[in-house]
Amino acid sequence: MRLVHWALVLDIAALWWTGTERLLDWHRLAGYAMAALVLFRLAWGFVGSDTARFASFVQGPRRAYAYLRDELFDRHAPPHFGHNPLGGWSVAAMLGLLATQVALGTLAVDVDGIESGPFSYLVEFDTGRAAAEWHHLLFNVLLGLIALHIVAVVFYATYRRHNLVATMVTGSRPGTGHELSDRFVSVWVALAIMLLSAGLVWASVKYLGQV
Amino acid sequence: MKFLGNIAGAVIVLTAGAATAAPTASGLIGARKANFKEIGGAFKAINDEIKSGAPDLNAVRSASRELSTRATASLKYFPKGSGPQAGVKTRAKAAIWAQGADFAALQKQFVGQANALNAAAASGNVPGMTAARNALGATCKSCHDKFREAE
Repeated sequence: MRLVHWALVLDIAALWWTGTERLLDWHRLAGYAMAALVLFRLAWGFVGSDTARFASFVQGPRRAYAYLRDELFDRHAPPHFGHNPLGGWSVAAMLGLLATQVALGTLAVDVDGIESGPFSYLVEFDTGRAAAEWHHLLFNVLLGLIALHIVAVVFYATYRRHNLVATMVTGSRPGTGHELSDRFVSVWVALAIMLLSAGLVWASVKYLGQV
Repeated sequence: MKFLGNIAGAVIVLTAGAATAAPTASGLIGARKANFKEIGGAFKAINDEIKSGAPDLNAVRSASRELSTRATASLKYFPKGSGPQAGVKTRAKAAIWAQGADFAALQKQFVGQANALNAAAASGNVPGMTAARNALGATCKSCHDKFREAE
């Protein structure tokens, strides 16, 4: 899971660069990788380790607001193991946005009608153009979310003095009494789900898509 | 009397010209965009067929015919004054008129390649169609890169 997070970071950077430079062959490949990563993350949200499960961190807006009001700026508040109620929403938003971007990208058509996503043959030119425009627009929203995410990490590092980056690498969080997730699902299960996600993406592009 | 008549005639022509100048530019730019959107749609239809690996020749033929007709039609859509200064939303750059010879050369290439694609489609020769499609696509892109405002 932590590996997937850093893979997402690298893949978003790759997508940004290939998209801006119009290296669309590579952009498509990086997009398929993104589709597989998002699929994996969705599945892992249901069957993965405790801290990765949606049920463990997606909480109602009231809890998120209460966290924002009572805990966020309190230096003495005990750290959460896993995502806090507010961070959970940030994860959900990020994942939802990435999934939307993948979907729009598969339908997008460039203005010359040459480069296009693998499923763009299913839609009209105008629809494909609209998908491309939204794809472009939502990327800026994604950049905003990423900026917010980084600001939050820096805030925790300086104001709350929690090194979240280290936690995201090692998986342990000092002061919570947890070393690793209580229910830590095997790396092999993760690998199997990752392969399955990649296989699913590959097969849908190969058999349903047109490139 | 004839002199006065001439003046009256000239006034009528001038007012009519002034009154229609603005709507003409916006109407023309609207028609230009619509024409290019149809060209994009036709080109996408051709590309989708070629990408499928087993192109439906009838679909390619009708789209190619439309594309070549509309490519020729596009020539009349770039009169002076229909650029960004027209006050209508358009991505046409002022460079179209500043570098008129370059633009005209690309237009000529565009029409020639659209006609070549139409001929290849009519003959049903798939490798020929693919080559013509690639050449035409490259021209779309080179002209857009130079003369169309980036999105």
